[in-house]
Formats: sequence, C-alpha cells, structure tokens
Amino acid sequence: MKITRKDFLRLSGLSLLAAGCKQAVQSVTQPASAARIASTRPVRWGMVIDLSKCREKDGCSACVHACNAAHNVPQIANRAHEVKWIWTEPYATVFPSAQTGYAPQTVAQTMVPLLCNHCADPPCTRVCPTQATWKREDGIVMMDWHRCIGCRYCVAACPYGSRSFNWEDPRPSIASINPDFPTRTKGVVEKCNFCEERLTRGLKPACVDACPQRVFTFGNLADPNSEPRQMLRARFAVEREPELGTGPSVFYLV
Amino acid sequence: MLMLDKALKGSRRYWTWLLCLLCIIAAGFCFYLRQLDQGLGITGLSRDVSWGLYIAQFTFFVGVAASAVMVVLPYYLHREKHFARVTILGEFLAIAAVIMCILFIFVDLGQPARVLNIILYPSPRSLMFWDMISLSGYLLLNAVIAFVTLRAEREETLAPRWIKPLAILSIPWAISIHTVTAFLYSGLAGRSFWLTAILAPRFLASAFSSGPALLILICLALRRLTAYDVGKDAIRKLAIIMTYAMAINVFFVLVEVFTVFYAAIPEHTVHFEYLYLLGDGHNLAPWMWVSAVFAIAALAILFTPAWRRTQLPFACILVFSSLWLEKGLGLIVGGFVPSPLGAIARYAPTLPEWSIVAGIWSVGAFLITVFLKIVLSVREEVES
Amino acid sequence: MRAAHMQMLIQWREDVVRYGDRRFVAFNGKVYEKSLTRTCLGCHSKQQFCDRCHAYSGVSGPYCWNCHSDPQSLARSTTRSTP
Repeated sequence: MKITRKDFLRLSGLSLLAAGCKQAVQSVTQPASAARIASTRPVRWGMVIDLSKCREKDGCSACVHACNAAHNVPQIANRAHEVKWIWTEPYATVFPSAQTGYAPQTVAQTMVPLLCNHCADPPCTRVCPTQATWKREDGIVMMDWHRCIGCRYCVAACPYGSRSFNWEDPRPSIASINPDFPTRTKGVVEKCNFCEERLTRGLKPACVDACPQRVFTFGNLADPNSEPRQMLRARFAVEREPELGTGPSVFYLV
Repeated sequence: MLMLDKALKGSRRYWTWLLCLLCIIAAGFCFYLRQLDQGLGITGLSRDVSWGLYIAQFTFFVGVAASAVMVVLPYYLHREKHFARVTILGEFLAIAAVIMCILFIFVDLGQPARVLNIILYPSPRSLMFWDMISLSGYLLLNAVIAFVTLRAEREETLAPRWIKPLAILSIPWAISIHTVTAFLYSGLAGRSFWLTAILAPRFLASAFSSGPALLILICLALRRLTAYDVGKDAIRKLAIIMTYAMAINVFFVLVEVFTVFYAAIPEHTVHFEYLYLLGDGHNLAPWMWVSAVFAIAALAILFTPAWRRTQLPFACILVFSSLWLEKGLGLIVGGFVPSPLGAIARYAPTLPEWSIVAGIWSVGAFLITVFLKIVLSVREEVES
Repeated sequence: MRAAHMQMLIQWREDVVRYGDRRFVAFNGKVYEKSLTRTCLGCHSKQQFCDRCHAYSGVSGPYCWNCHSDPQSLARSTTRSTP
C-alpha cells in the first residue's frame, strides 16, 4: 500500500495526539487526591502525638535523645548547621494560624515534638531530581543517602522544615557511634525515617518506645482498629498546615 | 569549527585582562577545593536558608542567557537589519551565561560527583530535571547557531538553511529556560513568597531588562576598546527594549506588593516585611531599598529621551545592579526567611562563597572575551 | 567473592534501601540479613577482609566507610578510651 510521506506524518501525528488526549482526559477526570492515594494502600504508617501528656516542660527530651542515639544524629555546635530528626518547638510557632490570642500563655508555650510528617502527597519527593527521596508503599518517605546529590531542593520544598542538610562532616559531632546504623557524610540531606530499620524487626520507632509518658502512638492508619485510628476517633486531632494538601501522617491531640 | 586560533592572537591589554581573570578563577577554585573537603558549611548557608548566593546567581544568569531572545527574535523573525552586528554577541553572551549557570549549580551541590544521577534516574515530576534538559538544550542550540553562522561568515558564504529553523526554535526555548527556572520556585506550596503565578512573568521581565543592559554595556565597551561598532540604531533599539522590560518588571513588583499587603495574609506579608522593613535582623532590607532606588532612577533616565541618549551606560549599570540585588539576592533569601517555623535566620555570604562566585563570574567574563575576540577577528578578516 | 563482591554489595544496597528487602536466602537455604555492618562485618574483620587488599591495591572502597561503621574497630576504640 503506497502512502505518501506527508500522509504518514499526518497519520502518526494525529495518533500521538489522540493518545496524548486520552491521557490528559483521564488525568483531569480522575484527580488523584492525597487522601484517595493513601486510602488504597494496605499499610499506612502514622503517628498520633498526645500533647496533653508531653512533659517537655519538666525537662524531658527522651524522644530526642533516643532518636539521636539510634541514628547517629550529630550534635553540631554551630546552630546554623544543626541536624535534627525530631525536636520540639512552642505550640504558637507550630500552629501560628490556630492562635486566637485568647488562650492562656501556657498553651502557646506548650512544646510540640516535630518530625517528618511522611505526607501522603509529599512535596519533597515530587521535586527530588534523582528520586533519592521517595514514598514507599507503606507510606514512609525514605532517604537514599547513596543517591542524594545534595541539591537541597527537598529542603526548599518541605513546608514543615523537617529536613536537615549535612553542612559539614557529621562524624566528629557524634558522641558515640551506634554501629547498627550508618552515619551520613557531608553533602546529603537527612530526616526522620519512622525508624524503618526497627519496623522491619517488629519494633516500634525509638521515640515511641523511649517516651515515659506514652505521648507517641504509632500504628497502621489503614487499619481502622489500630491504636492511632482509635485515638483519632476518640479525640479531635490537628495536622500541621492541612490547607496545603500534603496529607501528613502525623496528628496532634491538643 | 571553534576557530579558537583567532583567540590566540591579541594585544597586551587582551592578555593582561585574561590573566587577571585567570587569577580570580584560580582563587575561586582553591576555595572550591576547600568546600569539597570541608562541606558547604564554609558558606553562610544554614538549615533555614539552604539556598543562597550560588542558586541566586544561577537564577539571575539564566535570565541573562534567556535575554538573547531579545536580539534573535527581531533579527531572525522580523528581519530587523539593525541587529545584524549584535545578534551574534547576544548568542555568545547566552552561551557564557548558561555555562556560568551550570557552574553555579555544580558548586552548590553537596555531592557533585553524583550529579549524573539526574540523568541516570530521570524524575520527570521534578522541575530540576526539566531545568537540566532545557539548559543543556539551550546551550547546544546557541553554540551550534553561533559557531555555524560565524564559520559561514568567515568562509564568506551564507549560513546553511537549517540554521534559521534552529534560531526560530531558540526563541520559545529561551522563554522556556527561564519559565522552568521560575517554576522551580513557584511550584513550592510551602514557600509562600514564591508561590505566585506572577513569578514566571516577573523573571522574564527582569531577564529582558538585565540581559540587554549587559549587552549594551558590552557593545559600548567594544566600541571604546576595539574598532567594532554595532551601530547607533542597534543600541537605541536595545535601550528601548530594556526600558519597556524594566518598566514592566517594576509594575509586576508593585502588583505583588499590592496583592500581598491589601489581602494582608500574615503568612505572605512576613516575607516582604523581612525584605523591606529596616530593623532588627533584617540585614537584607537596606540592599532591597538600594535596588528600588536604582530601579526608579534607571526608569527616570530611560523615560527621558535626552537622558536615555546621553546617560545610557549609567542607566544600564543602574538596571543591572538593581535587578542583581532583587533577583540575585533578595528573591532567594526572601523565600527562606522567615522559615516555616517563623525563624528569622541571618544570611551573609562568607569570603569563600564570594570568592567562588567571583571565580565563576570570571569564567563567564573569560568566555565572553574569548568569544568576542573570535567574532571580531573573523569580522575584521572578512571586512579586509 | 573477590571478583563479584562489589556487584553483590550494590545489589544488596538497592534491595535494602530502595525495596526494603532484607532477606537473603543462601544456596543452602540459610537465611541472612542483607547488612554490611551486621552480616559481613559481624563475623569477618574489616582489616583482614577488606583493607588487606584495598589498602595494597589502592582501590579504596569509594565511600562505604564514610558512613558505614566497622563494629570491631569501634569496640576497640571505646575499650581503649575507658579508663
């Protein structure tokens, strides 16, 4: 069958266009919201943090110490270069738009543990040019320190300030290296990993186990009978910056 | 093909200039070796302000690179004859600027040896992936167009017919490189200073003013230092382009200021307050006001025809400096301060940082000097 | 092992970090955990096993030891520092 070049090009061009249109129509008619993505998976690790039980004001930082020890998180003297996976900030800083101005000072000053929220639709994984950070099937936002090129785009993208970059070699700032977990080198980004190396051995995250007040409740958000789900049914919980649509997996009971 | 032999014959002034640039490059390189050894902590960057001078310079010079379209478009698409002697300068400026951009990104990486991971593990959802594609493509495009047309000139033949479609392609491509760079910032939900649709138009407007400003200064320098004159009409037209683009850019900034302060959403206003309210911890504010004053002064000169003719070099310097401060410093740091948790972090580039930046600027200056030497030598040879 | 250890380590690295797959079933059915520090160095000494060849040949394991620890040398350094 003889076909002219012009006709061939026209035909293939139209076919490509049609294929492209089908894709476009599909993506427009079925927007994938964070909640829809999250609800289809069998496991979605999540955490509920009960602020009413936290005794940080009495000087307790067991969660921070446990995480730092388990993961060789360096304690860097220069605050500008600090690396933190879990830390605390005052309530007024964490939930600025929730401040009425009429609550007692004690509420505004309550310290809130902050960590990576392992969002359902993370902005950080979207922007990583090498997929050195990605979202696993079980919901954990992982870091691959072998692949990270240290461009810090994920740090810019995270709305919560959860990520830290290694501005210097961390090893000199680690008091005692835990050989069970690697340290990192200068030039890569790191953050809380929901203790995935402990989860794989059937353990709970280090902060959850270390807290003397049982502030942290960790479990599978996809299982309606899990501990966190029960708590979320029983009490009103807030997320950080919900209007951004990131779908955090960390909830706070005030 | 590259006609580099043309760059090897020059006056004492030429070689002295190149030598000075090489010294600055060497100093920058030494500091970069220190950065490779000790980490990016030797810069003024911090956990809260994780992008600074390097990325800001990348952003600014992508604009300069894109501005080549302001000479290519009139010349190739609208047969603007007056740009005959300046178009190739614009293209070579674009090549030097893109190489500077690539270097700025490279020195900003924490693990530069792994940079090829971007190609090995393509991530089409990441704007940085598209930025790499568009920048590399633009570099290739301009390099081919510039060298092929120059080579044809030297052989005193017409450029091959396929050059014209490539030149036409470089027009939307130039727009795309700067739009993609703007999208890098404007797609981040967590950074309310950048989360504005007008960021891409603002980038283009400031690119099309800072680029021609630099190009005019280069042309005036060439007229002073060599026998090469692009012609009064080319300079006049470039000045008009720069005027309109600068006016549009200032308008866009004012539009942003209105939206932010009239709607008065604290999350949005805090960044402008950090950048423009003089006060405690706002170490960038004086510089942003300098930028604003320069912009107004530049527009005053450019809108007055008599002054636009006589004070053009001064106006160009004002335009370039104003936009460098606004885009090459304020825009990036302003996005990070205050941090998501409200902290006002102080960012001041360190000596190593400035030295590495100066080194890369010098690489750009070196390249443009060598390129222009080749162009001038070829044109001299042809005209004789 | 000498010829193929790097391929194996890279494969294990991919499996563990990117796929969360830590189980390795050997040819004889024995199950190991894919871990440089715990499995390989759990028994073998880094000096004997790695450094002996790598230090001599100058092929420095690119950057493994920048992050991963050798439990035996860590234990040695802490016992030395105890008064």
